[in-house]
Amino acid sequence: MTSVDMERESLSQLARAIQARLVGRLIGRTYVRSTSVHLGAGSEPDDSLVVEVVLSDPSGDTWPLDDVRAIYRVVSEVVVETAGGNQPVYIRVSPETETPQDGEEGQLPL
Amino acid sequence: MAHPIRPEWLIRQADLLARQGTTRPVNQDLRRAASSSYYALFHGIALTVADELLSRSTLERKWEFTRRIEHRVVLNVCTWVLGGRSPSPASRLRMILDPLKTSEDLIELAEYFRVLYDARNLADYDHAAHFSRPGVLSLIQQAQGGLDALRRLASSADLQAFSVLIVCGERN
Repeated sequence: MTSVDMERESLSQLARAIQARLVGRLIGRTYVRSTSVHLGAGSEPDDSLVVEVVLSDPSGDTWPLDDVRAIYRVVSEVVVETAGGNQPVYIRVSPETETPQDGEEGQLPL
Repeated sequence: MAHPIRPEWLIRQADLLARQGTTRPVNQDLRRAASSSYYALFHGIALTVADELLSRSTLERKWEFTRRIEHRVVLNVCTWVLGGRSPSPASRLRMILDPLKTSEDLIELAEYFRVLYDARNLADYDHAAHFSRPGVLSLIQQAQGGLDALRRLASSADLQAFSVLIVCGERN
């Protein structure tokens, strides 16, 4: 097995573990709809672990802070248990309904 | 006339960027909002540490001192407060660190800092990163939550110990 295969395997193991702990759960007033894991690039030489968490749409502008904190805590625990927690981890929360973007990138008047 | 960096103005800037437009702002504006949220909390911590440790110094000297505070060291200290062991704190720091692991306000501050640190990295460096308005508004809320936690910690023994760790912690 190559290191790339091992990395892929550990990513999918982490993805499964996060999914098992969160998907379908109601945390406070927020449902976790889906989760996924991939690598992202940060300023550090090592890639960041990006955990995407899709939540039920917030009733206001965003989700209650306590709900988001609780979700982050679960993800952090799973990352430490599964991946050892040595890598930077970014947990990105997004709503299940994505609103369309205003205008096109690069067409803003400067 | 000096126009210092004010954390609450960075929050305001982030909020304006994230709320503009009728639907979702362009990703570039959401990136800047995520980054400003991080810097609001980072500068809030740096200024508080300077106030705590150099309380009798001039404002200019405190600003100069904040420039020596390293982002990665603040991250390491926050990771230690949350019970993370990597990188390990030097044994001489453990007696200062251990009581902080039960400070609710510091735990809250450390959680927000860690989230914002990683979010800022992606916002500023990852070309593929995509941000949603509610997600960025949550980051802004967390930066504000961190600044509120700092205010609650003002003049406490926990804040003093946290400040010493930031100065004595090593970059790994």
